[in-house]
Amino acid sequence: MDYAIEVKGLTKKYNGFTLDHVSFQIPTGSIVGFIGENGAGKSTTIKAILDLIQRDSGEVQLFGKKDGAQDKELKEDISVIFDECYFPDGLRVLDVNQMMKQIYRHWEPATFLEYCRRFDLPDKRPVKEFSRGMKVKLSIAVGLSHKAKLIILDDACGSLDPIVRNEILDIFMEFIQEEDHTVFLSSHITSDIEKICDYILLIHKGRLLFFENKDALLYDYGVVRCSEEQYREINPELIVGVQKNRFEVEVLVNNRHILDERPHDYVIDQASIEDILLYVVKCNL
Amino acid sequence: MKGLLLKDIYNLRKVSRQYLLILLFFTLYCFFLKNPTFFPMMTILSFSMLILTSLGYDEAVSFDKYALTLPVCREDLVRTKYVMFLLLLGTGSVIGMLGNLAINFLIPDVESLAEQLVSILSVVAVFLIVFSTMLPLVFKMGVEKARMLLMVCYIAIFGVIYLGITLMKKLNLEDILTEPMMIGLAIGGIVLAVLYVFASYCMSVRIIRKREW
Repeated sequence: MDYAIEVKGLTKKYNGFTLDHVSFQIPTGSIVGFIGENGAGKSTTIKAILDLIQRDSGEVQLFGKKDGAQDKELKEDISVIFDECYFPDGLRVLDVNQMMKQIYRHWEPATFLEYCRRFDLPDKRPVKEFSRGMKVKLSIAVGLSHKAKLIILDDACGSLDPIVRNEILDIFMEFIQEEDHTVFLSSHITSDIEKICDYILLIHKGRLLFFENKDALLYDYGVVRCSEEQYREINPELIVGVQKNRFEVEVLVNNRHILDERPHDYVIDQASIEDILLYVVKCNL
Repeated sequence: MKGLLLKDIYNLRKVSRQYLLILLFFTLYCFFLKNPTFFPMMTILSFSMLILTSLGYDEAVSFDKYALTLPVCREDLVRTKYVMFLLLLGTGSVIGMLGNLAINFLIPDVESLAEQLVSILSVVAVFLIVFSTMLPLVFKMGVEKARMLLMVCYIAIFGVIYLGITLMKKLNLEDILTEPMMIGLAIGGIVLAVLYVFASYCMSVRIIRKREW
């Protein structure tokens, strides 16, 4: 299998936070959702992948090339979209078009201007007059206009309204139809991740908790709503996290089918990605 | 690098009207004071200062962080700013010289054209040194902090020049120096300044290689 991103033993120490020996592989042709609470290490991981910070140890490969983010040629195939727009205030859409024409070899002006039109971005107004959402849409339009093979999003969709977000997710679904295209999507919006991702990567306090196939996760994980007594009868190996309140105990289990096979009088619901994130993080506090 | 330069030029477009007004002010000022040498000095300074404006705009939106995700390397970021600085300095010098000639034409000056050329070349050399001292500091600590150090650079460099002139006067070197010798000295100063720019560029590259975003 080919990998768009390979990270091995990535470590970066800051005062009060350590990204601790993170390792994962992002298969080419997939959409991978990167989730975790604020400060879990998502942006630090992305910065290390992009060589924006110096790692203390570990290795990063992009399209099989070690330290690929240092290679200008290879970066032609990568689009990075952050949660903010980094274009200077005085630039206009047409200026960005001219600028990118000189930067990317495979820049497609028509595609870019078409995306700008689709996103309702005015041609002649300076970026400083754009709303935050418009600025992110401009970054997305740039990211989709140079024949990239890998799109990395660092919480980019958070400032978009649900309608535009939905449209953008559809664009990513179209993008991924090419078998060598990959999307690495870091986001807090678990519903987006659940909608489009093939794999889920969960990070917590600088450590990778799991990297799983999303469909398998949704198929296997379940939330059991039961009494305290029933909870004690559940095999501890199945329990991922527990939340207790006055009336019932909610238990996240990693294989709801085993419990379903036996006769029971408690409720087992399918767990959402948000449930899994909440329980797993709480369990690992 | 061409794309990054274009970005800087587009971004500086918004100060162009202010600069036209400033040029008009300098022209009138020199015309009424009958002092043509002031014009090139101020245009060279004003245009050179634009590099800090450009760096400030980039810094305000963390443009460098984004630029490094494009097919751009860290060295390109530094190279672009040095080329941009030289372009601005060159533009300021050309406009300054042309303005100087025009004002000379209107008000014949007491100084010879050769003396004026020496003074313009000296100003270019001084600003090359001042801004080449500044740029590594900007890459290291950001525009705002470095802007404060600009004054320190000016005072230090002009202090050295003042000391040199005082020493020349004390040793009566002024009488010995002929016009061609002065032009030669000014050109020598430019060559030294260019070497200084190169050393400054190398230092900026070293700084940016270690920087994190």
